[in-house]
Amino acid sequence: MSSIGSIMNTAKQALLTQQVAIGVTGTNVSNATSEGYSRQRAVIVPVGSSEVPQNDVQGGVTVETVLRLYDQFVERQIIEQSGEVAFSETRREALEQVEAIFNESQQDGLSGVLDKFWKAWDDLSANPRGDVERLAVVTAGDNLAATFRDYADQLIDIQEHLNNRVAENVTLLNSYLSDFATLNEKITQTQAGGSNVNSLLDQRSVLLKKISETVDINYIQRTDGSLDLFLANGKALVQGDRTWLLATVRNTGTNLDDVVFEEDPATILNQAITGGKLGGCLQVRDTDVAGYLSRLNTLSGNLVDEVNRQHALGFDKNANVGGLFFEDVTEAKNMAVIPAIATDRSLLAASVTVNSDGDNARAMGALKDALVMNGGQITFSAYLNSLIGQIGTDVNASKQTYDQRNAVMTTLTNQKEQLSGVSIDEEMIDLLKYQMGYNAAGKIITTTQEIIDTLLELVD
Amino acid sequence: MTMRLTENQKFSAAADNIFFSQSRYAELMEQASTQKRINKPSDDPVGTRAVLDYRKTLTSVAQYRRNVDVAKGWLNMTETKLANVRDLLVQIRETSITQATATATAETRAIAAETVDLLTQEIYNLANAQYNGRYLFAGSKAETEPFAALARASTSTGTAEAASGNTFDGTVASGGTYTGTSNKTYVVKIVTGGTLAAATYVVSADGGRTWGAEQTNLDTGTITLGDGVTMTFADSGSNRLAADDIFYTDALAAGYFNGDGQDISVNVGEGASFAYNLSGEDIFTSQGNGTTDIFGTLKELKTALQNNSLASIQSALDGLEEASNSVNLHISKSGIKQNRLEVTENNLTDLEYQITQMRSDTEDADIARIALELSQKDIALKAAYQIASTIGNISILTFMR
Repeated sequence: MSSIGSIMNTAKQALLTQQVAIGVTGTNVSNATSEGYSRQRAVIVPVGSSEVPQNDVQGGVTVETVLRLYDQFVERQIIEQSGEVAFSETRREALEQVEAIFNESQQDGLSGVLDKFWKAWDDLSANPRGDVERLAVVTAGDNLAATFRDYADQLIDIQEHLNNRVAENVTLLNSYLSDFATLNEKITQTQAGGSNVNSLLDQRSVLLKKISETVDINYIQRTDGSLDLFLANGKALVQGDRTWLLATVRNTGTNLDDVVFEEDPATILNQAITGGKLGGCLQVRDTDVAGYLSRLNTLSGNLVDEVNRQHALGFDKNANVGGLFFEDVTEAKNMAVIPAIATDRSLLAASVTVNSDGDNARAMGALKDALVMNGGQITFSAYLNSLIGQIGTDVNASKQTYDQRNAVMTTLTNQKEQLSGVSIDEEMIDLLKYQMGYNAAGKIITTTQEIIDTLLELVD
Repeated sequence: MTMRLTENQKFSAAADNIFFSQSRYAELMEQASTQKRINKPSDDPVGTRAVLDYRKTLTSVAQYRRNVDVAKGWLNMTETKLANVRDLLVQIRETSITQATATATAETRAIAAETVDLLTQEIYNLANAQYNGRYLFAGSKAETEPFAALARASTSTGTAEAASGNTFDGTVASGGTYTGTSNKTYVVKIVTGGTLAAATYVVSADGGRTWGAEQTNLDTGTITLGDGVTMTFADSGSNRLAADDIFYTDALAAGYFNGDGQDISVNVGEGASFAYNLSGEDIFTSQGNGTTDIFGTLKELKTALQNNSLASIQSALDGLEEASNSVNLHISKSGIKQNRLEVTENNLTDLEYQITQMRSDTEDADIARIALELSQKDIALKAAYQIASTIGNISILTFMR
């Protein structure tokens, strides 16, 4: 026989339990669109008593725990993939900027200016003493040099911009690492105290994803609930509540920043960072753009050498041996026509004899087809065109990689959402269910109340 | 188990759909507005490279055609002038041949001499004709008037010139008697600078085109450049010779001609240059490759007429025959050169057409296809918007009260 008191008690437990469940539903609904939120569920279990006699009905209900629905394997994949996505997005964005420089679909790109330079010499060959033709050659040479300078400057700008982003990302990463260590500490303490750490875990997951988007990391879960973070080369970034922060130092050779540990500035970590935004910035800055710049320099250097060599084979308007046409520089950013030629156009060596035959200008014009690049295998134009083609290929590849990684990310996110995401429909149904349970428990209390009333009347 | 579809999934899927449709739509719009399939290198890296190669070829071809036009203009003018010379020679012959008979008198011959003199003057003007400010018949010395009014009785060595940029501030003089039979420009280029004793130099007999072996005997004061021409250096003691100091002098054969027998050329194809001038040396003189001294013959004829010498007139008329032959020969040479240019130009036109076609095939957009695809994407984009706008409408909340 159940006592009336115990019925009341059971009903009270039921009311409280449904209330907790409704509370969890409320949390889910309010966080339906919160970043990194994992759906929670109240685990409702019956409470029984073994000391109750056999014919007695004695059982209640309680919320055993609030579960965080979460799959750590999907989570790990998402963390890794988000680093890949951030890396490829950074590379794609930066390469698209490079592509914008080398957009030769307009006629006044580098290849167009180069073609015009040779044309001007050809025109001069047909009228070697003509001042108009001489002016045209000097102008075309100036344009060519200015375009080379412009392209080189823009590439260097992109490198410097990426360099700034390296420093920014290192600062950002350091603040993430500090926050991460703090969360580790909180989680360890809270868990030891037996309290619910669900929201702290969600916060840490969000932070972990942000860190992975910045730099490629490995992580290991420890039994006390904290996560240890390591760089790809195995060096620790976070262990428990301890952090090893990163810093940047200026490399005097490249004039760009290297990434190092704050406490070990002599060991350069650039090679160890191959993922995330930081990895993307380093890859584009040190490999992609540096490569394009070096090829641009090779082109300008060879062009300067060949034009100057041919120019020295001729005689100028006043029978002097041709001097330099371009400044003898090796880098595209410094390319320029000799200032004396710009002011005194008679210094152009148009002829191969002291008479004005124009044949040196003709030979200069024919340099456009000379096989001088890649060890005498291809022309200047072919070299430039293959550089532009290379940039196009790189941009294309980076776009494709980004799209692929993004597609994988979408799939993973969907997998995660299926388990951890909030469905309003589902929550509403749960709400109805818990409401009904609550109402029913209330009904039991009112019924019990009536029973008590009836009993009291009997006594009267 | 059925799939759980969460709120985040519904909305992000809708957004992804819209972005995807928009990006392809924007790409098509760009192609439609530029009418080009390739708008940046990454659109088609291989195609970009090909297009740039085609473009370079097209620019080259356009320049070759421009050069061909220059050469054609020059040759046209050359042919016109030579045809005039031919006609004048015919007139001179007609005038003179009547004087080569017994009926002619000293008076008629004197009048004929005047006529010959006038007509010679005209030929002289034609031989000094210019095209775009350059003398047609001066060889590579296109800035020098090729024919002097008076003949040189003997060879001459021009003044020694020092290039304006030379370091050397001593004096240089030419000397010796030129023994050559055609006009030359001798050039001395200093290879290693220093005192006269220390300096080394090379000599060119063709204006600087080709050079002899390096020599070291400047300290003797006078060096022989070739064919009797010498050059004498005197050191001022201050600014010594320096590398690339240039000294030059003309060496002229006897006669009227001041130009040279060298070619002037333009590029008319990849690795192909075309010499478009006919040198006055070949046409009008007996120097170099030339066979007949036309102005000498005309002078001889005039003198013979003035002197009333039948035998001399007849001999001069024989010379006139050779003169006409030379002019006619060069008129046909000019025609042959023009024919070659014609062939070159036709080839260039064909090439231009083919490359333009290839460029267009690679680069240009298929407008009809784009228009079709655009309208498809238009529908897709509208559908994506429509779907996005209805996501929130259906949920269990609609049915709960």
